Amino acid sequence: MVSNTTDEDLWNEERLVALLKEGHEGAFRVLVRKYQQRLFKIAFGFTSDREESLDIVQEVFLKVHRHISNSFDEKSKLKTWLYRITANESFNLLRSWKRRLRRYHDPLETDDLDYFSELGTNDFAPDALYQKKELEEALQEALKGLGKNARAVFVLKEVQGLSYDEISSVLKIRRGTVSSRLCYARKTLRKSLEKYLDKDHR
Amino acid sequence: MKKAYGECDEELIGRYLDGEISQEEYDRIGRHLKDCPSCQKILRDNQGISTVFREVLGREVSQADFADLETRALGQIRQKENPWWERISKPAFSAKLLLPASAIAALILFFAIARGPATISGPSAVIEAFSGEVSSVMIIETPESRQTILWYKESS
Repeated sequence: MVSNTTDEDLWNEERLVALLKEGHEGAFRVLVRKYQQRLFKIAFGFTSDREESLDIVQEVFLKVHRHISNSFDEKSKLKTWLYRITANESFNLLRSWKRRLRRYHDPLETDDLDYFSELGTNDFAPDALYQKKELEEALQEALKGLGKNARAVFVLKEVQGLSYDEISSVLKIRRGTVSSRLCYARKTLRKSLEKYLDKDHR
Repeated sequence: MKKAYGECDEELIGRYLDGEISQEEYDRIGRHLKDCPSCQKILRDNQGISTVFREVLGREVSQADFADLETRALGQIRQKENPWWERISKPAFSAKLLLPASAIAALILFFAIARGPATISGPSAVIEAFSGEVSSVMIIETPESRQTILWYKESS
């Protein structure tokens, strides 16, 4: 009998997949705990929005639960499949009319309270903190300006440190295309962030 | 085509940074980087962007509510395992559903028989839009009236 433990080390991928196919709830919980942060980072790389990214990750897990029996190819890796679903869900969200509508009506002000929670620490340096925040915001904006193809490659590389072969497998594109899109993404980001990079990374 | 030693190659610098490079290319770019301040800057800037991006992601991860995500995801799969035709047979659920279902049916009947299909003429603007787990609502305003659109999500 399978125990309901959530100790990840006890669950190798093959066993996890087999139990997920049986609809085992303990296995599902292990899957969530093992991958939620990784998938969240990917989703956030696309959306730049915490709540939307959490919703995407939840949807990914539900899709896995529904489709692992008939859609998962045993020859591929579970993480590759998960990353692919996450990228697709993120693409879908980015082009959904509901999101575009909400973005259009978003207030201009942003809540900086979370960011400036560092103010109480000894490391507080207003100028440096402000510059860092400016750079981070500029990077988020620059990412939005990238096309979805270049952004996908950049996010998978930077977030998960995937190899070119793994990215090629997740996005179903050639390895050479991964290299050229990544080069394009980095070039575009450098150009957008030129003034900050000259200042901060000399 | 292979670029000659001394020639700047941004894509190769990227692959150098990612460790996706042959030994021969590694030696070539290594020699080139020593003498090329502009490629040194490209490498440094790429690393800088990567660092900032990862810091943003790290902070977001630390502030995201994963416990809630797990609870919601588990709740959803339990619901899937207990499908609607089983839930609808429970008395509490039936009572909860009966009133709104009757109201919606009455509205549909009213518009179908008395008014014909609702149409929107002239410019319109979205006043509110809500999206829930089961249903979504959008209220739009036209010069003549306000229209409420309600729809239910079908899960596969």
